[in-house]
Amino acid sequence: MKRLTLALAIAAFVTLPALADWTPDIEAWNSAPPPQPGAVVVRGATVWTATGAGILENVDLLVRDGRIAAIGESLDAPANAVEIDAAGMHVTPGIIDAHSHAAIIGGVNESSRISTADVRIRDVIDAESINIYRQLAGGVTAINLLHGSANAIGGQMAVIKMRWGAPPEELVFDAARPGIKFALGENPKQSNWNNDTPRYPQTRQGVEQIIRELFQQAADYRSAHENHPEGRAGRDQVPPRPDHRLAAVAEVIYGERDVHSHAYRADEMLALMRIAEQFDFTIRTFQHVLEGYKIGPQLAAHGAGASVFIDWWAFKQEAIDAIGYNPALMHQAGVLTGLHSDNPELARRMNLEAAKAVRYGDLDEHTALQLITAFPADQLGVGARTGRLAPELDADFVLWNGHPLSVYSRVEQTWVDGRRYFDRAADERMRESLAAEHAELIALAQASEDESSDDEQGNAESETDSDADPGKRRRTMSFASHLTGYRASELDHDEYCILHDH
Amino acid sequence: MITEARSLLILFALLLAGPAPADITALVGATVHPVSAEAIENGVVLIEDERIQAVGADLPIPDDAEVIDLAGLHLYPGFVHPATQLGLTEISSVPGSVDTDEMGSINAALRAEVSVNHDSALLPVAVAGGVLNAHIMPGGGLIRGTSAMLRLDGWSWEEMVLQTPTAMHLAFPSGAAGDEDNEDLALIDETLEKARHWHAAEAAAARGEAPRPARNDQLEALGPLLAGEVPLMIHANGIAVIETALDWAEAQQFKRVILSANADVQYAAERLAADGIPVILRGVYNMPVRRWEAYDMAYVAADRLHQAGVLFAIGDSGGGMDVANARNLPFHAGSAAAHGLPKDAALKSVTLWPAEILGAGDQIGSIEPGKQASLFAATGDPLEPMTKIRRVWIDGAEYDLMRDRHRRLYQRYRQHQQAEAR
Amino acid sequence: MRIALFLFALLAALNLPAAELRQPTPDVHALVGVRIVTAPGQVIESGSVIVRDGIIEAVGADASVPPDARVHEFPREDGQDPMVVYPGLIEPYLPIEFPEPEDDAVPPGRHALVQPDRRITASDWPEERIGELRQAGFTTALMAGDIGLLRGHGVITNTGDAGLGVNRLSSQFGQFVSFADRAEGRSFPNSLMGAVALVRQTMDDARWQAQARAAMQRNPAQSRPEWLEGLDDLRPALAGETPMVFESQDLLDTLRILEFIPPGDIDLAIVGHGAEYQRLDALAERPVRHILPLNFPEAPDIEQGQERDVSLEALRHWHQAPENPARILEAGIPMMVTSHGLSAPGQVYARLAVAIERGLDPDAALAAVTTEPARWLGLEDRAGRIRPGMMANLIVVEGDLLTENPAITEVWVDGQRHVLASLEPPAVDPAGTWDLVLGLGGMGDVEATLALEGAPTSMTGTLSVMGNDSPLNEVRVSGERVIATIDGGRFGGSGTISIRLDIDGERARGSGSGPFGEFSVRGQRSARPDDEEAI
Repeated sequence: MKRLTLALAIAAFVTLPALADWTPDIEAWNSAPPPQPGAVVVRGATVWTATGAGILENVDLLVRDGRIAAIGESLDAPANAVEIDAAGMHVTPGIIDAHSHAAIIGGVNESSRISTADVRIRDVIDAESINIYRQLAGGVTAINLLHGSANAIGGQMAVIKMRWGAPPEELVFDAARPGIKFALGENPKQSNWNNDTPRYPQTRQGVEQIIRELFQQAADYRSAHENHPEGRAGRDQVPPRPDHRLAAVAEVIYGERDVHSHAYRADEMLALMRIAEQFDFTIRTFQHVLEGYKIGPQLAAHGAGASVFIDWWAFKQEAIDAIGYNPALMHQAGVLTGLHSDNPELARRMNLEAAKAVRYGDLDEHTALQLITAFPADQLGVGARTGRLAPELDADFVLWNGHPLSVYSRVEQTWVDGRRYFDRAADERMRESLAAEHAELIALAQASEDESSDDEQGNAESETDSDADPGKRRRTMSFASHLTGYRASELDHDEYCILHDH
Repeated sequence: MITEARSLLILFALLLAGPAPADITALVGATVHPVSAEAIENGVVLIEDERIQAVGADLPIPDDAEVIDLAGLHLYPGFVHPATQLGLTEISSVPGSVDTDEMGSINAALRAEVSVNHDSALLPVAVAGGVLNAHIMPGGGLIRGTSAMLRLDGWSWEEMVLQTPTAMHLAFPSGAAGDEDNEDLALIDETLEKARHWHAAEAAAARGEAPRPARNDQLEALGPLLAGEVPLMIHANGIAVIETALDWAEAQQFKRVILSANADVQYAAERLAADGIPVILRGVYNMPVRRWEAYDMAYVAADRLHQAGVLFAIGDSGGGMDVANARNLPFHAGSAAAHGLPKDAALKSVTLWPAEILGAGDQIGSIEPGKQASLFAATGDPLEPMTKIRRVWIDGAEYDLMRDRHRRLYQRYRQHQQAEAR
Repeated sequence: MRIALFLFALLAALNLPAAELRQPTPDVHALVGVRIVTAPGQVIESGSVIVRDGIIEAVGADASVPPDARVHEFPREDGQDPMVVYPGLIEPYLPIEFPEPEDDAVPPGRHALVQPDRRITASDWPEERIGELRQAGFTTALMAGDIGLLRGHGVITNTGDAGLGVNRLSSQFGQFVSFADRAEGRSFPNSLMGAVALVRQTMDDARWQAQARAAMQRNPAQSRPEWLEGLDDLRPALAGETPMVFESQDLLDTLRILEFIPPGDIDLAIVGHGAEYQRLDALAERPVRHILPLNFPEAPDIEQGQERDVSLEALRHWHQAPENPARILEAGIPMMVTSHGLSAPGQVYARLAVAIERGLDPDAALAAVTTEPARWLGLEDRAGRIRPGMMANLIVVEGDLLTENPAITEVWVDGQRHVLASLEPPAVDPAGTWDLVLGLGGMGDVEATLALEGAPTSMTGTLSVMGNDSPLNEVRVSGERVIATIDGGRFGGSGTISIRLDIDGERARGSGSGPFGEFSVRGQRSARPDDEEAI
C-alpha cells in the first residue's frame, strides 16, 4: 500500500509564471490565471473594430492594464510592453455568445413549473467546464448562461467572462444587465415531452395567458411590498411573505431585469411583445427567433433584439420555416441581431456562423462579424465594456492567423481582460506536459495495482468506495455516448430545445 | 479542325443518345475546378445530355450548344455526401416524418432507398448548398441493410438511384471491445455463419446436388456481401471498438470493408493504411472524444488519416440536425484544412474520394469527361461558408434553386419588408 | 447471575422483557497494565483506567484499583508491548436513512424535501450501523437524516447496544442541509438550481415567519399570517445557536455553499467531498469547519493498450486525494474526519494511515476523530479524551490505532465492554453442522445446533436452540476462529449475542457473550456439506 510521492508538476504555482512560460491546464482548479502585463502592443495587424471605424489594415493595438488604450498606426508603447508581431494576422473583438448552456452544473432546466423565475444560473455556474477553455480556443470571451426553455418563465441568467481557472464567482461579468429566460411555443407547451403528467399550458394561447397572469400577480406582489410601511409601523404590521419567484417577475415588469425569450414563430413573438407593451416594458431579445424575418419591422418597432441560429432548421415543426437569411433580413429591418451557439461544440466556431451571414443574405463581412461581437454585447448590456475594439473597452480580443470569417483560419491567441487565456503555443506546451504527466501517473497506478494484487489483505480491504458515493446524482445527460471522461454538465444542453440523435 | 471535331462530337452524341437531337450545354467563362486535375481559368465544360463531354481551356463550342456564361464564377463538381439519411427524415421531432431507424437487430434485407421521399423539403436545401449526391444509409439494429448512392433530384426515388446496393451496413457492437462473449457480436457471427451455409446450400441446389433451402429473405440479402460484390461498411466509434471491429473483419475475411468512424479513427491510421481500408470520418465538428485530449483532436483527425495514406471521405454525424444541414458538409472539410489537411485533399474528401470509396468514382466526384454532369457554380471556394452558390446542374439539367424553400421564403419576405419600408 | 439471564433469554418462547429481570451489579472496572493514549500526543506508557458506572474515575500510572472493581488484565507474552487504550472515536456525520416522507404526510404549503423539524427517534435507531460503528471503535456519533434538502436536527448518541433512549446525548444538535436531493420526475425541484432556490426560499420564509409572528404579537388586531409548519425549527441554526451542517457534493458545491451562507450569524460546517485540495486558496480565505470523508479512489483499471481511456483527471485525483486531509490542515481549515462514504467504518484506519503517510500529522489525525469532533459537539468535557469525569468510551488495541489494520480487541461504550477479535484470513473451513453444548455455568448445559454454509469468506448460518431456529446476523472466519453474531431480539432480549468458536479439526471450543452475560461453547461437527448432499 505504500504510495510513491510524485513530484507534482501541477498545483505548484507558488508564484505566477511569466507570460512566456504560462501554461494552462485542462482542469480549471489547476490552471493559474495568466499574468496581466502592464502593457501589450499588437503590431501590424488587420484590426476588425466592430465599430464605425470598420476594418483597419496594418495598425497597432495597445492595451494597458487590461483595457484597450489605443488603436492606430505605429503606436508608441511603453518599454516594458509585451510586443506581439501580428503581421499577416487579424485581430477581432472577443466573440460574445448570447445563448449558451456550456457551463451549467446540475441541470440546464428546472422543468417542473410553468414559472421558475426564482432559480438562478448564478448558483450553478460550472467553472470547471472544459467548454470554457475549448471555447476560448475558438475566440469566445464571454457567454450568456441561460436557463433552458422548458417553462414560459424560466430561470435567471448569468453572463460570464471566460476567465478559465477562476472560481464561479470570479467568472461572473458584473457589467451585464440582469436577465431572465422566457420560452414560447412547443417547449413550454410540452409538445415533445414524454409526459405522463401534462401541466398547463398545452397551447400557445395558454402560454400567452399564463405569462399575462403571472405579470399581474407580480405587479400585485410588488405593490404589497412597496405598501408595507417602513420603521416602527412596519414592525407592527405583518409583512407580506417573500416570494422569490414573483419578485423576479416583478423586476421584469419594472424594467429591472431583461427578458430573453426563446421563440420560434412569428405569432408567439408578437403576442409576448404586446403583453410587454401592456406592462410598459421592452422584451430585450428573442432567442432563436426563427421566424423573426417575417416580422422584422414589428421587432424593430418594439425594440426587441434577436439572437439567432443561422442555419438550424427542420428539427421541430416550429422550425420548418427557419432560413439562413433570417439575420440579414432582421438586421436590415433595424433589429439588433446577433448569432448564438446554444451548443458547446458550435460555440467553438462562431466565426463560421458569422461567415454564413455573408453567404445567406449578403451582409458585408464587417457587419457579419458584429453579429458575434458588438451586437450580442449590446444585447447583454455589456456593449460599453466588450464586443468592440476601441479605447477604454476591456481588452477582450482574438488573434487569428487569417481572415476571421475564413474556414481556413484558426485562433492563435484569445485575450480576456488583457490576459492571454488562450495561446496556441501555450496549448502545445500543455499537451506535452499532460502527456508526460499521464504516462507518469499510469505507471504509478500500474505499480500500485501490481502491489495490491500481491497483497490480498489490502485487496480485501479495498472494496470500491464509488458505490458508497454520498451524492445522489440523478440525471446525467449526454448527447454523445461515446465521449469519455466528460463531466455530465459539460455535455448538458437544453433537452427541450434540440432533439439529438441519442 | 473545328468541323472535324464537331462531327466527331455529333457522332459521339448519336451513339450515346440515339436518334434524338443532342442536347448540348457549354458552360463558359468560369474557373473550372475539376478536382481530378488543376484548375482551369476561363475554362469550358461541355455537357451533353446528362454527362460531361469535355473539359478544357479552349474547347470548341458546338453551334447548337446552349452557351451559359459564368464569368467570375467557379465551377466545382457537386459534393458527394458519404453518410447521411437525407430523404428518410423530414422533421426529426415528428415521428411520422422519420424513417431513419428500424427496430430489430438483423435487418439485412432492408434497402434504404425505397423510402426516400423524393419531394422532401430537405433535398433542395442540400442541393442549394452544393451537395448533389448522397449516400443514403439505413439505421437501427446491428446488421442494418443496404445503402444507395443517390442523385438528389428525381421524380421518384427510383430516378434518384445512381448506384445500389452501395454497401451492407453493420453497427459494430461497442460492448464487444474487451468482451469476447459479447452477445450482439455472437448474433452477428451466427447470422453470417447461417448465411454462408444457406448460400452454400443454395449453390448446391443450383447444381442439382441438393434440394433448395427454405427461402430466407435476411440470409439471401447477405449473399452479395459474402460474395464480395458489396462492401461491408462497419460503423464503430472509439479506438477500442474500432480496433476490435478491424480484428473481427479480418478474421471474417471480408473482401471489401469500409470503416465509418469518429475522430478516434486517427489512432488506427497506420493500420488502416496498411490494410487498405477506406474510412468515412463522421464529422469534423465534434468534441474531442476524451475530455483530456487537445481541443483540436477532432479537427486534426482528417489530416492524420491523410498523412498516414488512408483513403478517406469526410461526412457528418448523418443523423438528427445534420440531416437537415447536410449542406454544411464542405465546411467540415474546410475546417479540417484549417488544422493541417492540404486544401486540395480537403476538397477531394467531399467530392472525388467519397465517390471512389462508395463505388461511384466513374460517375461522380469530379469534372471529367464521361462523368455525370453534376456540378455547381459558386462565387469562390465552396469550402468557405462565405461563398455563395449561384447555379446548379444535376445530370446535365439545370436545377431550379428556387425549389429551395429557404430561398423562396427569403424572396417573399424580402419583398414584403422592402414594401413595408416604402 | 447474568448467565442465568442468558439462559432465560434462550428460552425464547417466554419472551419476557429482559429489563424486568435485571438486577443491579457492581459496574466498576479497572483496565490495568496498559499503555494509555489519553488524547492526541498525550501518552501514559503504563497505567490503569478506572471506570465506575460508565464514567472514567481515574487514569494514570499510579491510579489505584478500587476494591469493588472487576480487574481487566491484558496479559502479554514476553517482549510484547502492552495493550493500548485510546479514547473512543467520535463520528461527526452519520447520515441515517429515513423512510421517505409520504406525500400525504407533508403538511399543505410545505415541500416534502423541507423537513427542518425532523429528528431521529428511538424507532429510527439504526441498530446495525451503530453496531458496525462500535466494532470499528466509534463510541459516539452525530446522526442525522440523509434525505431532503433541509434534513432536520442532528442527534448525538453513544454507540452502545441498547437503543437511543440509553445512548442519546443530545436530541438537537445542528440543522442538516444539502443541495443534493431532487423531487421525482417533473416535480419541483428537479435541478440543482431549483434545489438551491427552494432552500433559499425556505430560509427566507423562516425569517419572515419570525418577523410576522413578532408583528402579530405586538399588534394582534390584524389578519393572521399563514403559519408554515416546521420552519420555526430552522431558527436556532439561522441565529447561530447551533451549527448549520451542509453536506457538499463536490468542490463547486462547497464554493456554492460558502457563497450561499455568507459570513454572519450562521455557524456553518461543511461535510466535504474529498477534493478540497483543488481550491484550497478559496477555502482558506474563510476557514469553515470541515467534516472530511476519506473516500480516496482506487487506482483506475488500466487495460493494456487502452491507457488513453484512463482519464488524466481521474488519475490525478487518485494520486492526490490521500493528501487532502494534510493539505486542508496546512491551509488552516479546521477539520474532522468521517467514515461516511467508506464501505465500512473500520476502513477509516487504513485511510488515515495512508493520509498520515501522505503528510497528515498523526496527532492531528487522531484529533480529527476524537478531540475535534468532541469540541464541535460540545462534548469537550465528556468525550474525546481519557480523563476522569468523562464517559468511559474506550478502545483497546494491540499496538498503534492509526494503522492499516489495527488489532482492536475491545471497545467500551459508557463503561460497557464489547469484546472484538481482529480478523485474520480464514485458516479453516467450518462449513457443516455442529452439535454444540452451551455451558451456562450453574444453570447447566443447553444443547444447540449450528449450521454453517458457504465459503469461509462468505458464510451464512443458523443457530437452533431448543427448536428455535435463528439465522446468524453475520459469520466470519478469522484464522481458526469462527465469529458469529445473532440478533438478541430472537431470544427476547435486545442487542447482539456473539459466539466465538476455535476450530480444531472436527472439534470446536469457545465462548459467547451477549447483553445478558457470558457462556462457554463446545462441540463437534456432525456433518460436512458433502455428507449432507449424500443424504
